[in-house]
Amino acid sequence: MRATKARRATPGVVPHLLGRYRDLTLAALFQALPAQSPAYLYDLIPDYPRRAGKGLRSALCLATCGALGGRIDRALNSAVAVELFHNAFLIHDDVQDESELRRGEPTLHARHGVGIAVNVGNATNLVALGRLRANREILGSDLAWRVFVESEEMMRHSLEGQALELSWIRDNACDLSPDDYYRMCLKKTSWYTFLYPCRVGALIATDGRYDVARLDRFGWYLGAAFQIQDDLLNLEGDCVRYGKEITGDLLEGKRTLMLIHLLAKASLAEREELRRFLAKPRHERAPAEVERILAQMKAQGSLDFARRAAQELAEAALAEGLSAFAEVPDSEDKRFLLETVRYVVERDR
Amino acid sequence: MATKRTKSAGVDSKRARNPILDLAPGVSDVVRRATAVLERELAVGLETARAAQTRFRETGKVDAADFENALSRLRENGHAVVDLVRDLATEAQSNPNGDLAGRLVADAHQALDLAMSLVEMTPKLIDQLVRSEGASRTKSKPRQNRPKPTKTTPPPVAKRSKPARSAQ
Repeated sequence: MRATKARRATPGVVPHLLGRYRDLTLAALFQALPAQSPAYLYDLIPDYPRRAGKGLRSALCLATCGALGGRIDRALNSAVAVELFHNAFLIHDDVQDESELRRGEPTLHARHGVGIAVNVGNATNLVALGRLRANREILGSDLAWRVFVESEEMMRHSLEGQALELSWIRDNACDLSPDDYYRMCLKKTSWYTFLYPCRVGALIATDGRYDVARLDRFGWYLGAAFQIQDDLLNLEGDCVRYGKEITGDLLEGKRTLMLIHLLAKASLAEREELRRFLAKPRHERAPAEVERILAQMKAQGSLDFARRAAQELAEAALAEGLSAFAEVPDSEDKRFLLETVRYVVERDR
Repeated sequence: MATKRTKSAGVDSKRARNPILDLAPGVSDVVRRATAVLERELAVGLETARAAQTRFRETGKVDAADFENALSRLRENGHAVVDLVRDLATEAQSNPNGDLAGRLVADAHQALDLAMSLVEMTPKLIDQLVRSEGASRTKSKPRQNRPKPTKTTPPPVAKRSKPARSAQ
């Protein structure tokens, strides 16, 4: 990447801090769970967090706080909340997408049924709200309220993004543009994965004085690159490393950037064939059809198109990050935030 | 260009930047599109202003935070429009009126900053107006309720009652 050539990368700062902040967050998360649980409720909340997740969102929250000179312990409740919100989204997302695998194991609904999974997802959100409430004691009412307002906005964007994606599948939308994809991606993924954790970490570090808009483009470009890379891994990744079924997005009819590109490039006959495939319920989509579509994507350059987009967005994210953190003193946290850009597009899980 | 905008300070400053045009030259189409999507999603200035207006109607009080929120977005977009004109003028450098256009753009930024500063004073003024209007209504209320004097009924004599002392 152009901008990174000027900087000397710190080897391993991303995995190192991801591991450290993940341990910190998970310890606080498990402590926050009710000691007693009715059967199949709070006891199942740790199921997804215990699996080999990256802990990226909580790490971004803590690292942003640390980079801007804040105390990490003051941001811990919010880091736990973002991790819980994320896991609740995953549980519900898996139900909605009828996914079979999550982080290399059967999804919660595949193991316990849809009813229990939905309820555990709701309980996970409940515990997250409890962490936001607990912020009041540590951050004071005003700052805790700012964090709550950010959380509400994040939740709104995420749900609206998910609604967009679900509506495209339901209505078999075949005339989408890359701009449609970016909008869905901003709302569904970027907001809660990057914009929200960075904004909250910055607010906590500066007692609410930080102009959070300064981090928006950094978070957005990074989020878009992250999602495109995720979509690419879904098509060509290693099932064991990736932890989800390969080509699962095609089976689920997800409108990825590659699919949108293919729909635009395909001949009329191919397009009609694709439309018929996407109109089928998931269980009627045959693996052979999925293989054929994947081959078409490769032939039409859809994967390369998406790879280039992810790379360009990552470069833009790095430029924004360097600008946003230009006046911030060098630290492990700052290096983590900047090196995350490279990690996002080079990761294999 | 004589504007008060600063880009470097993160704390205690408002990001006053051009949404699209301050992207680095040669930035890719993907990034440009993505930026436009973000800016559209963030452009909630009018919605925020509308919400503040509704709240004002309901409570009769201007929430300074609401107002500031709406204003910052408006200021940003205003400067973006002026910068758009500046970029058009810069592109036409061979134009003999280029200098004049540059000065006009600088003046436009200053005028916008001045207008925004004036608008920033609005919540306090509105609150003062609302308070003073409320006070004058309270004063005039007894007169409105006073029965109209007639020829047959003499006007009631206002009795001044002693204020009741509260038990200490």
